[in-house]
Amino acid sequence: MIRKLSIPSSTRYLSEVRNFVRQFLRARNVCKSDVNLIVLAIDEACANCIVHGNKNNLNDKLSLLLESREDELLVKVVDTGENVPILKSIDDNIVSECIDQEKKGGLGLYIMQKVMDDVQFLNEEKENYCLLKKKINFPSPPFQQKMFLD
Amino acid sequence: MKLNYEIIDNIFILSVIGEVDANSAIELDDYVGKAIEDGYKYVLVTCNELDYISSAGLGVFISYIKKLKVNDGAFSFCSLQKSVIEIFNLLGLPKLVHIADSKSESIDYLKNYK
Repeated sequence: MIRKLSIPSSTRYLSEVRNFVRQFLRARNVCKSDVNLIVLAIDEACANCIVHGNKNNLNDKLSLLLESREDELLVKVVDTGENVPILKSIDDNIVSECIDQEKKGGLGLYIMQKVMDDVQFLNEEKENYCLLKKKINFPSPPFQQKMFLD
Repeated sequence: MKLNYEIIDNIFILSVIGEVDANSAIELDDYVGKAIEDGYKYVLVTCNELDYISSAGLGVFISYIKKLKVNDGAFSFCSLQKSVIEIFNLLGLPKLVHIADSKSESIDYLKNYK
C-alpha cells in the first residue's frame, strides 16, 4: 500500500506531514509508541529537506511517499533543492556536543538514525532523496484476528 | 504552539502548549533567549499540554543549557506526557536536564539549586 503527500516547501506545512503519517500508521494498527517516534523521524527528514535542501523556497515542492510492506515501512522524501552533503553517521555524543557548542541544530539526522533501521541520501537528476526503512509488524485489525481464530 | 509565562520566586516559568516543530521553534527560541538575556537563570518548562516536540524545539533548550550552567542556573521540565518522554529518552535528555512529575517539584528543585 503506497500513499503520497505533496506540500509546498515550507516548515509551515510540517503539521500536515505529521497528520498524514499518523493517519497512515494508525490505519495499519501500529502501536502508539511506534507511531510517535516514526512521526518524529519523518518530520525530521522533511524539515531537513525543506530547510537545507529547498532553503524554505515556497516555489519548490516536497513529496513524501509511504509504503507499508508485509513487515517493513519504506519512506521516501523528495526535494528539488540544493544537494547538501550529509554526514553518514552521527554518534551518541552529539547531544553533549550540541550543549557544549551551544548549537540548536544537528539532532534531526541523529533522531532519524535512532528511530529507523536504515537512512540513506541519494541525488539523481536534480532530485534529492531521503530514504528511510523500518522493520515493523503491521498487525491485522482485531476483527480479522478474531475471524482467524474462529 | 502557544506559549505562556509567569515569574515565581525569580523562576521563569514557561508553559509550552501544542506542537513544537521546525516552524514554531523560532518563536520558542525568541521567548527562552529573551528570558535568559533578561537575567533569568532558572527556567521551568511546564509540558502538561505539550503534545509533540521535534529536534528543532529540543535544540532550543539544549543550546541554552551551557549558558544557564555558567551562571549557576538550570532548566527543569515538568509534567511531560508519555509521548514527549519517549522523545526526551531518545536523546538521553533525562541524564542532562532535571525532569519532574509536577510544577511544585520543579519549583522546589530550582529554589534549592546551588
